[in-house]
Order: sequence, then C-alpha cells, then structure tokens
Amino acid sequence: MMLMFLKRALLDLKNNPLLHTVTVIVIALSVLIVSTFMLFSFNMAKMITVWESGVRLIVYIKPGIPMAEIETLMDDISHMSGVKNVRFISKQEALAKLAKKMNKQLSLIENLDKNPLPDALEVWINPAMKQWKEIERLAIHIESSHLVDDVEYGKNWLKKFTGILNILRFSAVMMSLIFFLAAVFIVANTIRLVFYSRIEELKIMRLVGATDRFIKMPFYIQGLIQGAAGGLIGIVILYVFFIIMLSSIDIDAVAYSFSIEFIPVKSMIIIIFCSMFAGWLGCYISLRRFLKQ
Amino acid sequence: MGNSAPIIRIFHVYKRYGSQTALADITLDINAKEFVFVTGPSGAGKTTLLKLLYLGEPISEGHIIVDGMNLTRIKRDRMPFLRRLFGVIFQDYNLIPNKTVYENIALVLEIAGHKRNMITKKVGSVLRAVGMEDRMNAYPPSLSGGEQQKITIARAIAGDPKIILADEPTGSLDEDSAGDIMNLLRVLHARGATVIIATHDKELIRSIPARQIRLDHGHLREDTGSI
Ligand SMILES: Nc1ncnc2c1ncn2[C@@H]1O[C@H](COP(=O)(O)OP(=O)(O)OP(=O)(O)O)[C@@H](O)[C@H]1O
Ligand SMILES: [Mg+2]
Repeated sequence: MMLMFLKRALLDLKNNPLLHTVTVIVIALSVLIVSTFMLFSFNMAKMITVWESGVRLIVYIKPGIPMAEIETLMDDISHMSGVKNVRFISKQEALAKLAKKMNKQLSLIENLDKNPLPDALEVWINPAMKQWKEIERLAIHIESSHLVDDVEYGKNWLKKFTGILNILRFSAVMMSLIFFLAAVFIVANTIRLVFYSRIEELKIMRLVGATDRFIKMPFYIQGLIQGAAGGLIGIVILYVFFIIMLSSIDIDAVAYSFSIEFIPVKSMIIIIFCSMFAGWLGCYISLRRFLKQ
Repeated sequence: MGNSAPIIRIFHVYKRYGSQTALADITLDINAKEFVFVTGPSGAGKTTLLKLLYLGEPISEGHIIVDGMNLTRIKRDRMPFLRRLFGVIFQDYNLIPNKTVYENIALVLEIAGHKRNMITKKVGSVLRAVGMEDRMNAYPPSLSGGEQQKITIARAIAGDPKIILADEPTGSLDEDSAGDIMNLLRVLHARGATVIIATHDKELIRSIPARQIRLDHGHLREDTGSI
C-alpha cells in the first residue's frame, strides 16, 4: 500500500518536473542561508570557548601588604570555584616584563627611581567555566578583599564577542523561522498548483470511491521528498562552499590553536528534519483548504 | 423477486439546479438484484436520478436510503464506502486522460485495497469481457467514443459492485457491441448484482423484459413495478 503511494508520488514528481524543481531549489536556498548562519555561530561559539579557556584575571594588590597576607589571599582565591591556579607576580617581575616589552623606550624605565607597579596575582580560570557572568562574579568577589586594589580582565573584547555571538544566534533563529515559513508557503503553493492541475482526476477518483487519505497520501510524500531533497542539496552546497573557503584562506592567520569545523551531523539531521516538516506542513495547509470540497 | 428487500429507497426527492427543477417528488423503491430501466426523453432527469444515488450531486430535498445508509445524513468519511457499492457507467465516461486504460481500471481496485497480482488478473479479465484487452496500454483520448465507453464499462464492473448504474451504456456502440454489453450486464445480474440502466433507446428496452421507470420533465410518469 505504502509502496503504491510512493510510486504515485514519484510519478507525479516526474509529471511536473519544473514546478517541483523550483520548489526544491527554494527550499535548498532557505536551508543554505539558515545553515550558513549556523555554521558561523557554531564556529564562533567554539572560538569563544577556546578563548575563554585562556581567560585570566590580574589581581592588583594594594601597596605595602606583607607577603604573608598575600599568601593567605592566594590560598583563598585558589579555593574559589572555577579557579585553576594562582600565580604571584612581584612588582619587580612585572617591571622586568614591561622593560622587555618596551625595549625601545628602556630609558624611560631606567630613569625611574621607584618601581611604580604594584604586586599582582595572575588567576587562571578553569575552562569549564564558560559563562561570562561567572567570571564577572569571581572578579567582583576577589575585588571585595581589603588587600585588593583592582581586578582586571579582558572583559570588554570578550564581552563584545559574546554579544556578537548572541546577535548571530538570534538572527540565526529569526532567519530559520522566516525561511521555514517561506518553505512552507512555497510548498503549499506548489501542492495547490499540482492539485488544481489534477482536479478532474481527483474528482473521478472520489467518484469511484477513493478516501481522502488515498488522495492525500501521495501529496504528503511529495512534500516530504521535496523537503528532504531541498535540505540535502542546501547542506551539500554549503559544504562545497565550506571546502572552497577552507582551501583558499589561511586559517592559522584567523585563529591559531583552533580549527574551523563544519556544522555537526546532529544539526544537519535537525535541518533536514525541519525542511521535511516544512514540506509536510505546506501540504497539510493547502490540502486542508482544498479537500473541504 | 418481489419479496426481496429494497436496497434503494427514494422518498419525495427533489433535485434543483438553481431555479431549474430536474427531479420533482420522486418516491420509489428498488429491490436488491432487480433489473431496472429508467427511461424518458432527453432532459427527463435520468442521469440526475442516478447521480443522486451515489451522491454525484447533493440531494435538494427528500431522502434516499442506499443499503441502509441515509444519504442526506451520511458522514464524509462514509462516502467512499457508499461509492464502492456502485459500479457506475458514466454517460460522459469520466476516464482519466493521462492514465492508461490499465491504470484507469486498476485505480478502482487499488482504492479498494486489492493486492497487485489480483489487480493485474482482474483488469485483464474485465478488459477481455468488453473485448478491449489489446488496448490495455492506450490512453483514453486515443480511443474512439465507443472504445472509451467499453473501458468505462470494464471499470464499472471491475470491483464486483453490488449495484451497477449504467447511464446510456450503449449510446456510442454499434449494434453488435451493444448486444455484447447487454449480455454482459445480464450475466452480472444473474450473478446477483442490482442493475439500473438509464436509456431512451426503445430498442434496448424492448430487448429485455424488465421493470421500467419512466421519467418526464423530472416527474415519475410510470413504474411497471418488478417483473
Ligand atoms: N449540472 C447541471 N447544471 C444545471 N442543470 C443541469 C445540470 N445537470 C442537468 N441539468 C438539467 O437537469 C435536467 C435533467 O438532466 P439530466 O442530465 O438528468 O437528463 P437526462 O434524462 O439524463 O437526459 P439525456 O437523455 O440527454 O442524458 C435537464 O434539464 C438539464 O438541463
Ligand atoms: Mg443523461
């Protein structure tokens, strides 16, 4: 029975090649756009995770605090949740580092009669702690100690990236929604056209005792096939673009210690599932209207 | 046959197309396994009466009960089963032009849920019965009017229906073919089908002694009753 429906659906696809091709192309384009967004946000999220795992806080100690108290503070901080390790950087070490960085203007530093830099602690964050808010909370917590002058962390640029990622994710969701509706709309219209082109045949089928199910089934199968084909083609096109892009740009320059990846298989399956659902829904909408006589 | 139960009961039925009345106050019963002619001049309402039986047109007023189903109250999902009771030889054929003769006939059996090899066998046998087995793969528009009529007849009898509705079944046929088709319908009647033939062909009516229901301008003028 199912096989017969499938045969009739395929026959119908064969009989209206142009119409169905256009539908599949539109679905493929929708999927292409949506999956492009997904590809970007997926990789950006990955990149941010990598960066975040390298996040560290610099804790500046107030001047004149004895070493013993600093050691207690280090001990306290290293027991805070999310902290991987704590390292003490004396003001001498800091100055030496600075001197090395600024070797051209070394005279500037050499002329100082007193080290202007404070002692500091370098606090490395556990990579598992991805949430920006958690890092911020930790910083505030450390800052509340009376020994601490200031806590510095690369908040601004990381915050910005997180912000961009959120915008990207939001637009991906919106785009998905819009293109999903577009796909539903186009399938509904294709099915309607096919339905009209076959209205005489369908009337005859009803006259000789066909049930609604018998008439509808091939249309649903068509919708599902169109959705699946469109989804698959969209993803394949994106993959081809992806490969071309990978081979033509120098990735290391963009993000070293990080590899750009294609969207995960799970997401691909979800995309194809959604485009099949769009095909089904398009059918449902147009058939519901037209089979009511 | 007068004592068998009515399979079709028609109570004060009217059919109007806009302001035009095609059938007016028709009341009659048709028993199971009866052989009936519905006669009358062109425009009398013969086709309309047959259409109401399988709900090819909605009933304007009155009631029709077919095999226990009240057609004015029938649920949408029961309609296919009503229609499978009938094998209809449509006056205007109603063949699907872009399907082959084989596919047109097989469709009825697919709808009824028969198995593929059973369908192949049955289509072959009904096409043989109407003498069209060599045109199995032709498309209806490539056939003559008479040939299309034979295909329509083959389709109508393919599903072994309880009731055969034949609307001018010999209208496009030569004398010999017409005789063959009438013999075929008599065989099916003998095997237990109820046969209702709408025609204004007096020759045809005279060839078989059977009940005659005569319509004129939508009114029931004469009913000879079961013979
Ligand atoms: N779909 C329709 N719309 C409007 N009027 C119709 C329709 N079908 C039939 N009629 C009218 O109803 C009346 C009965 O038509 P019907 O087809 O039942 O006649 P008939 O007895 O079958 O005639 P014929 O012998 O020519 O086939 C006619 O006057 C016809 O014009
Ligand atoms: Mg007629």
